[in-house]
Amino acid sequence: MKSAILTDVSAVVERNFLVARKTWSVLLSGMIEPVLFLLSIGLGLGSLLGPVEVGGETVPYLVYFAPALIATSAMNGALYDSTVNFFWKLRYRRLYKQLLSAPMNIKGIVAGEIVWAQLRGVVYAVVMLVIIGVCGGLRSPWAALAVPAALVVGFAFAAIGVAIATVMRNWQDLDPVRFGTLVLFLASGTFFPTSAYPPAVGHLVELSPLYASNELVRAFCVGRVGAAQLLQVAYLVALTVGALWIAVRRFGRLHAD
Amino acid sequence: MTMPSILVACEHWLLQYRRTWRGTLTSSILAPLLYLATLGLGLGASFDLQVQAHTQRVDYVVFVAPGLLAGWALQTAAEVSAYPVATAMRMDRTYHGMASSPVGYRGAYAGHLAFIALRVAINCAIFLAVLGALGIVTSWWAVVALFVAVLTGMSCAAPILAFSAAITRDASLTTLTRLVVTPLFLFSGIFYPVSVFPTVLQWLISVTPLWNGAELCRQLMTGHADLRPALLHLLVLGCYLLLGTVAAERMFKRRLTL
Amino acid sequence: MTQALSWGQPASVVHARGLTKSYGGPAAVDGVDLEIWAGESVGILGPNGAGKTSLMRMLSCVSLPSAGSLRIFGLDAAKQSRDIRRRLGIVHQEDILDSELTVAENIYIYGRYFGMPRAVIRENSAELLEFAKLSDRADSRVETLSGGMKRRLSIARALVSKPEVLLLDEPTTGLDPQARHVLWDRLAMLKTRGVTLILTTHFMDEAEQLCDRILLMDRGSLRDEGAPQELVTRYASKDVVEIRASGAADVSALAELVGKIGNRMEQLPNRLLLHVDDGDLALRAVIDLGVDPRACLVRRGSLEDVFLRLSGRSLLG
Repeated sequence: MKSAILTDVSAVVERNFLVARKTWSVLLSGMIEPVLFLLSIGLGLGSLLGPVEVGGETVPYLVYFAPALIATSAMNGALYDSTVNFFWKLRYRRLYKQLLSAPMNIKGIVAGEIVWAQLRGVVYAVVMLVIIGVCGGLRSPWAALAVPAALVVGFAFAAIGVAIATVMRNWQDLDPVRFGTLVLFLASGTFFPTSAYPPAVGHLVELSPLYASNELVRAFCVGRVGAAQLLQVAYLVALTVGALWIAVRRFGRLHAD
Repeated sequence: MTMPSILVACEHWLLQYRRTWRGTLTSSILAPLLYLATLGLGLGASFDLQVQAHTQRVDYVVFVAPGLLAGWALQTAAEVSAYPVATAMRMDRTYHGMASSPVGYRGAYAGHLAFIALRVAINCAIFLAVLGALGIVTSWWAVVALFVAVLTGMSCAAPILAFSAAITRDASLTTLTRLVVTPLFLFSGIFYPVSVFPTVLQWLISVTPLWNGAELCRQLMTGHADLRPALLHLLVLGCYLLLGTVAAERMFKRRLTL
Repeated sequence: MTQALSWGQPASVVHARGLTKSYGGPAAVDGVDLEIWAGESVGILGPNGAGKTSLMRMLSCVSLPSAGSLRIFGLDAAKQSRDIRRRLGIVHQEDILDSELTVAENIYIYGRYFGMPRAVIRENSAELLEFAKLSDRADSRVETLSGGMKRRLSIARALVSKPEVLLLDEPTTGLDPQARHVLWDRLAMLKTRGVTLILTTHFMDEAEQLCDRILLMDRGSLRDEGAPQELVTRYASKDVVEIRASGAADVSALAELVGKIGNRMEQLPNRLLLHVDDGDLALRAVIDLGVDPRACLVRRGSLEDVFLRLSGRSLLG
């Protein structure tokens, strides 16, 4: 029933759009954080730092750091939407009880939530890309591909977030999620190359989904694209599929009683 | 307002904290250490960075550590004086219960501020102890820096508490975080000297509570505090605390007694 | 549409055999056989915990039967739930409305959940708001509505897809008397339009008002069924004399005293019920025996009495 899924997805997206119309300022201000980091760390701290090597090319710190903000904000947006918002609807507002009383299916609803999160993610990525460009952080026309790359990143983290939301029991369970996000943000080759770590730690960090995301977006923004990017995309897609599988199974169990 | 009524109100929050403190460990203890390890040690090592701290050039981590101490005083203050205050005012109506008891509205906000001071002190003391254990801080003046950090936290907490008591929608707290707390954290000279900014921006930054707190902590912890600038920093912090408390007094009175 | 094809016999809407739901412990619904016809208005009456809500959840196709078979509109509830739900309107016990949207938006988006075209929903929406007496609140946020308004919105929303069957779980629980009457009035209107109503309740007045047929449910099974008046005549008397007492000892003493009056007697912890054919006559006999007239009350026999007789338990108890 392909058309059924499409109906479900578009209904969920439309519902979220109706709500977002009322709270657009909150949505908009969500873009402020990465911009602040760009100005403070990328430009401010960056002015004290030497160049960094990316894919064999030496680039200023801003050029190194800025793409990671696109990946990070794709991650944050997707995770926030899929954990906080999704959990809220799942457990407290019982929104999904309404949807399941209507002729909608679980797969369609989960897909709808993720598509909505991604639509927002695309807007964020485009705006960030423009701001980075204005600040002089882009090097190549390949940078346009950073938007679809951010989409791949967003899908992976949205799927992971939805999977997490279905196993969460209460709001306190969000604390480790938030902390985990902070660990990923600070450690995954966002601010400095993994070569700064002892080799064992460095390899561990390179397994992080945000590391793959950062490297992927960075490769496009700097214009040094190679086979490594295929591997990163494959890794993120695999994560998406795995997390979705868990999410749909858990979600079905929660609502079948 | 009497001392016992503050203590009673403070005890309320302590009782609650006794149940929830485990959940706050990540955000209050581990998070600043994570910043220290990645931005301080990792980035510092990666770029072999040395930074000017007053008269001397120091390793980047030595520069960042005092800043993070003051920065985490702000983060803790924001955590405890935003959502919990808004919830106690509008959802649980905890304050209404206090205001109609002998604790009174004054005891309600003063007790909460006392609890915030305690939280900031605990978080900062642990962070400072780790800095000492790692050998990043060696001067005994650091003990004084702990008091400065608590004062910094309170000078931020009092206005935030007044704001959180005044708002009518939780979305305002998101705006506060995004437009005030995060910019303060990122632009108050915690991660690098503000001398990289244009002069006008430097002036603007020099009146923020966090810059004054971070500067004074850094002077104390690197063992280069001069009396006169130190007094000026303390004066700025004191002003924020005073103004914030006056605002909180008015806001609590308006919402709880009128 | 499967209904109203043949004149003599209405179409079966619900057909259940051995329907069972268990959540691990004792079965919440235990081997229920059930037949509901198109156009009927059926009430499931029982005390809290009787299994009404579990049964309704299965009829709504949001919860799968643990055992037994359930066909709705002739479709298998376990396999064709989506096609069934397309033709159902569901009103939950707690009003699960979208609190971030307005009244009109709630109706609109619910229609979209059914995949209805936007224009069609907008067309229906004004009429539904009128029906729910919410026209002047179309742009209000849901949070600002009273309990009765929320319940009417829940019903209006469930009607957006023009369902053949409306399922209502305790539609008037928690509403004040005035709001209940407005709601009954609206539901009666739907009934005349030919919508099949299936509702649960633990109020006998509600069941008597709205239902052609009552299913009495207790501890997961159906005890009996019939038209309200039919059940009353079958299990209770025309009139009931209630005598208030101050305690169990007092009740037994009273029972001793008036025991010979009427067809049947019911001893409750602080009341004695005499089932009689003529209430006034029986009352006079009771007073003649020396009972304080101020402790006595004569009323018509009701479903409450039926239920008490069948299960030994009060509906509201």
